[in-house]
Amino acid sequence: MHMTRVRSSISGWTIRLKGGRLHILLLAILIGELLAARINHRAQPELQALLDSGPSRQRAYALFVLTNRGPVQPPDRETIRKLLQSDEVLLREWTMTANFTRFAPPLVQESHIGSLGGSGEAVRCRFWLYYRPAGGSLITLADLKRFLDADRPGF
Amino acid sequence: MAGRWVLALVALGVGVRAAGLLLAGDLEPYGDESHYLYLALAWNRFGFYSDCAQYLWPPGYPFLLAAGLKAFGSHAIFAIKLVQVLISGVNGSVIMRLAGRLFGPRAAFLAGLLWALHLPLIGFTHYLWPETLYLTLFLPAFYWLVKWWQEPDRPSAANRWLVGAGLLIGLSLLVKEAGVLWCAVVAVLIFCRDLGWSLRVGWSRALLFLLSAGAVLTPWTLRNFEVYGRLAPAGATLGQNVYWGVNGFYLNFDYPPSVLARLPQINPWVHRRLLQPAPPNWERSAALNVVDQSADNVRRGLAFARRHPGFVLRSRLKKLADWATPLSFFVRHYAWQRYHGALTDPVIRRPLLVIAIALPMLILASAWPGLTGLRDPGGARSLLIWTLAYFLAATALINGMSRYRTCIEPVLIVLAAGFLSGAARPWGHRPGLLGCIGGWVVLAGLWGINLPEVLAVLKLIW
Repeated sequence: MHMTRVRSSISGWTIRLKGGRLHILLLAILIGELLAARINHRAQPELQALLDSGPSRQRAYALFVLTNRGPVQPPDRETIRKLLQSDEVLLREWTMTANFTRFAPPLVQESHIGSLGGSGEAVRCRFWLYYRPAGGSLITLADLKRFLDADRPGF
Repeated sequence: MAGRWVLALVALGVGVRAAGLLLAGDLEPYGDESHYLYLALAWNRFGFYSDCAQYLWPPGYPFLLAAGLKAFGSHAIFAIKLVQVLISGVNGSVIMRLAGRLFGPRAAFLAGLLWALHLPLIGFTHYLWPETLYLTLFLPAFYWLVKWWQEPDRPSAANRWLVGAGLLIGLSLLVKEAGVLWCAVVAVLIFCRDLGWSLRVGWSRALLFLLSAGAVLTPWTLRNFEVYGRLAPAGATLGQNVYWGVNGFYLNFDYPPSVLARLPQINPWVHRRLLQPAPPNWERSAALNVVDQSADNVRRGLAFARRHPGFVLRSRLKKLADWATPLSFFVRHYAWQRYHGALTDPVIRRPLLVIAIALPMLILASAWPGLTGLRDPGGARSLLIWTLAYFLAATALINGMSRYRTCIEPVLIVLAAGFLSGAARPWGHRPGLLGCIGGWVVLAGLWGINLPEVLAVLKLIW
């Protein structure tokens, strides 16, 4: 890398400007990040496939992206019912979250919670569903403890 | 200032914060604290970050909470607050170094003392709000920028400082979105300063700073693009704040509901002159994702401002007064009865309230002459002025409350210490003296606007 000597017109100091190695390094990092994002990009059909048969957390993630990236189709009752009957617990729980229930009053979810009894899943589902941030609801320390203890043996 | 004094003051500040944490006990989460917890729990459960309450917050603070919850379970809240207490020592140390650099050792000592006893900042170490973490990343970056400005004859270190500052600012944007456009302002300032060398040096240095910040922020920006199909560099919180602040109704989270509801009776003159007649409210966007909602709310807010320029201008005066208020979330927590136990004992509560009100007033009143009296051979004053102006405009002109001041409260502490130590002398020349007096008159006017409400809050909690 070459050195450029630059003389200030104001003070007369001379500085040496190293030929942009840092710029190139940072630019390379940025390009790497862009390429990684491009490689990891999932189009709508891929997300749909992931939702149907992906690993547990990726199925919930696919549902999250499908209900946020435009053009968004608010899920209808039938879709919600299917999700609630899924064998994947994370999918069932995601349908209870504030992000998913923002489209319409969660009537289907509420009736589903009734069938869960007092299991750990029921505790978590209630936590996700009855926390309504836009309605000013708050998480108490007791809620937090109940949520964290939901999967403890003997709960 | 001698290292042992810095250490002693940092120890004092951290000790006071630790005592505050123990005395405050288990505070119930409130407002955004609840949302951050919800996001953190969802992150741990589902393995990805979501959004909440019409906000897409940057992920840094929920990430800290998620990591804490994973590691400590139901003890996580105390552990996270303890981490906040400990990292606040970094803030104290940087505040002293900055004051020492700009004004000398006496100012550094005073700045350390002000920081150690500043209850609004102390409060944030025992709340679940991201302010302390944000300052821990923002302040060292700001210090490096000041150093870069003041030492133009050290080109070999200059790039290191700029890259370090850029990386830390990038990280701070992963905690709070407020400074996202400030990066552009700083880049322009860097470019302008280095034009003195040459156009090429100007571009090179400004780009170096932006690339460094961008390298940290870009993965998160790209993730947002993947999830929402929209550009959201750090988050999408502006729209919701515009909804609260540029609308027909008045809201201020520094006041308890009882004071807010009686505002027309408590402060009739200001209510009539600045907030009435209020145009009809505009409705929050119902767009289908949070990034679109935020953009839509900004558009609606701007349309509202175009339709009712008189009302918006008048109400900005109130927002400015709310920004410069002597109140803070620390006082607010008393008014909302969030504290229990020892902190509510009148013997402790009353002196704390006096300090909590008096110190922000002293700092606000001293910061302005500190700025005008700053002797600044390196030209760092332009950075200080633009930083203060940016954060003031980015917050107070949208929605005013004490919390929005927190991002630059440490800078105000440094400037105040410069004035109080006698290192900044604004009255050496006539324009400086007039500017200083003018600033005090404006500040007194802003305090006057909110005086009845502040007294009403104090009456409630005294």
